[in-house]
Amino acid sequence: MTEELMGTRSFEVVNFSLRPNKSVERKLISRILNAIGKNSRFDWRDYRYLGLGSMWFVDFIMMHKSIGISKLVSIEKEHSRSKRVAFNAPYSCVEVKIGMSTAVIRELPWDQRTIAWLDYDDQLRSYMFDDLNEIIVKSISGNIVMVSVNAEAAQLNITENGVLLDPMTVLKGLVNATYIPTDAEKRLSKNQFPGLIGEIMFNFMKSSVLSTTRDLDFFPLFNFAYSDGAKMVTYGGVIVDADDEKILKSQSLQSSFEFVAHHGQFEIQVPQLTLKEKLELDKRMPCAAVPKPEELPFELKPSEIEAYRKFYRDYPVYGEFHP
Amino acid sequence: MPAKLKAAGNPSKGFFISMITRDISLTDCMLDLLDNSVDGINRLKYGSTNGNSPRYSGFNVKLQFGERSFSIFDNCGGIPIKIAQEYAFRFGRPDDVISEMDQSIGLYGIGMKRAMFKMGKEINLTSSTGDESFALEIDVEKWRNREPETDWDFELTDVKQSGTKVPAGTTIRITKLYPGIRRDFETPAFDIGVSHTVERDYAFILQQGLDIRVNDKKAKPIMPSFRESDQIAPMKIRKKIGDVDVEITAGLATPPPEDDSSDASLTDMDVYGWYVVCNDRVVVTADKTTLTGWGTPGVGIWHPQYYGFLGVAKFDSQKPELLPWKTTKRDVDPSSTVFKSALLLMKEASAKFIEYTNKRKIELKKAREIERAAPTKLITQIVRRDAMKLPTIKTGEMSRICYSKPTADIEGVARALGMRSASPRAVGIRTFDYVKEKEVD
Repeated sequence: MTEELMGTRSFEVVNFSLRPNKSVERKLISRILNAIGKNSRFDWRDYRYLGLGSMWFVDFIMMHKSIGISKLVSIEKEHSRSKRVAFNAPYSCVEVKIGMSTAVIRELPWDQRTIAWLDYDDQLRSYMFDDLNEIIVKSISGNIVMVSVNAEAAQLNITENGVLLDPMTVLKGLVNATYIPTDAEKRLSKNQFPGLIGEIMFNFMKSSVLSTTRDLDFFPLFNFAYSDGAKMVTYGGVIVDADDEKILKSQSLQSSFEFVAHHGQFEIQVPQLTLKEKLELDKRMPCAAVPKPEELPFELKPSEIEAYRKFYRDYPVYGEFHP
Repeated sequence: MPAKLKAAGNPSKGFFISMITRDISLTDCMLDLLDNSVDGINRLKYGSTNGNSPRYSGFNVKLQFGERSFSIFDNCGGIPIKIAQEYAFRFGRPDDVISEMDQSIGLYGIGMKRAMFKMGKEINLTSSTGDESFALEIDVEKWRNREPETDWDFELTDVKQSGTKVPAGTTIRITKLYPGIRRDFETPAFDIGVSHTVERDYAFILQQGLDIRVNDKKAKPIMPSFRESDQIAPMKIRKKIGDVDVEITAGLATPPPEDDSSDASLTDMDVYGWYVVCNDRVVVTADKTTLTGWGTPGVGIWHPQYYGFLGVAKFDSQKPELLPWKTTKRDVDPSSTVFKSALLLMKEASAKFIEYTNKRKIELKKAREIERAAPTKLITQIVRRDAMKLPTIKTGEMSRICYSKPTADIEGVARALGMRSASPRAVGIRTFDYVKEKEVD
């Protein structure tokens, strides 16, 4: 992102619904949740969803329509936009809480099982760990905690009076050193940083659960890297007691879903396609062998074709309307 | 004559186990075992000169821990059978064991048992000097319930008095871990924390060649380092107090932060302050309390303004009982006379640094340039210097401006100044500098 964009509220810059990779991510999350929900211990209808709905509430629509949650809470920090945010809430069961996320989380009741997705759309900040910790400390077994954060390595390049600070020092200022893997210094490159963020989030969530509860553990579910401009990472998992852990293990999600966190970080990289291109590709789907670039009437990289083949069912269609 | 009646006065084993394991953290227990390994090397090397190779090179210690077990493996000489028989497994060192080997034998004789009993219920140990070897198994529950209660001994098995095939070194494996211990071992932050502690507390030992692996990751020494140039340089003084060699190094490690207000996100805060090192073992780290003089007469209470200060007080002696460390090797005994006289020198250094951080605000730009330009040098490369060298700053009056503004406005100004994640204080200073630069002659 340019400096100019970084200085603006993100929802004024990016139309949240025009992000194919983010859209695919939501659908993959939905698939995993629906698989878990087959067990009656995880009846999502009894859950609450906590998110950062912004103006668009795309995740809220998914949690209501495809997961079945009917109690949804959105945290919004911009006081100056409170009417607009409330106006855009898509359902009567969406409640908007205005305030800083850490404070709102602290004041919420936590006796109901909750899926919390802190989809920050921002660079790594130390308050994010405060928010996550607040949720984890109060969690009961069955809660799902997720976070999305900007994973561009360039965010560690900070100059102070014209002098570039050591990126590792910057990272240690954002994340407590006990969550930073010992080999982190070698993983601050553009391509390795998203993986490092995933590992830091795992270290943080697992450590928080183990050190603040007596008998709960952390079961990783999501570890996605994707980019619709800036590289982002979504990390998350379930807080479990021994019974819930047994259920999740018995579902052997890793054999049905190659994108579940068990397999390390999964990169979602579907190409930006025009509607005509999408329809052309769809005519060949599903297919056992990936179409070769030369078989197509337009240029695409083999990796883009492969990504599309995997997720064509989840690929969104956008259009402009002239009512 | 009536028979003499006696009241039993011996401790119960259960009481002893709970007493000795209560006040020590799990990490410290592991460090106790590591200390035993280092002691083993010193026992081997006692009296021999170091020659040209670093004291600990060729030796290694591996710590492994997880859900099921804890293990430590070393090749650090092993425990001779005679020492095993007579005192290695006793609770506390008998009074009459004062030998030439003073420096080399664990001083208090409690660490190994404490570590073992803290973690789990089944202990397997094998040790070999390369010539003789033995094994020892402890089933803690059985040992504890064994009659008579006064029988505290452990049985040595697989004893080889000479020509053993077991390679030299000691292996301890602890299983049937207690639930709390198992949780800690599974916690990623615990694992990373142990690595970090080892890298810092054994830095001087790692630097001299010891190879320590924590869950297969090689520990790299985090050595204290200082900024040194012809305009700014740490002090380093050496002094002999009785049989203890004292070396004090103090100065600037990193230029102090741009923003030292309480709402600033300061990086690596836990690095600065005083370190105390006894026979190469760091026993106090980054101390900012009265223990090392902060907030005592002549020296101010620690303040974020002092970030960047680093002081290292090293104490070395062939007679470890003279060193100012506590039994846990994780603290200093403030009543030690050696430490008290070193403290006077430490406080002088702190006071001088405090004075500088106040003065440098007058010519901040110049001070910063000098600080930044000075290269970083490891403590081992620092030469003797009686006093800290600091940039000369002209004197002048300073006044303080302090005001509140709506958060949204401050964020707006910050955005306009291109300093999005800066603290309000930094934004305020920048606005002042901005006006001064644009509007003042």
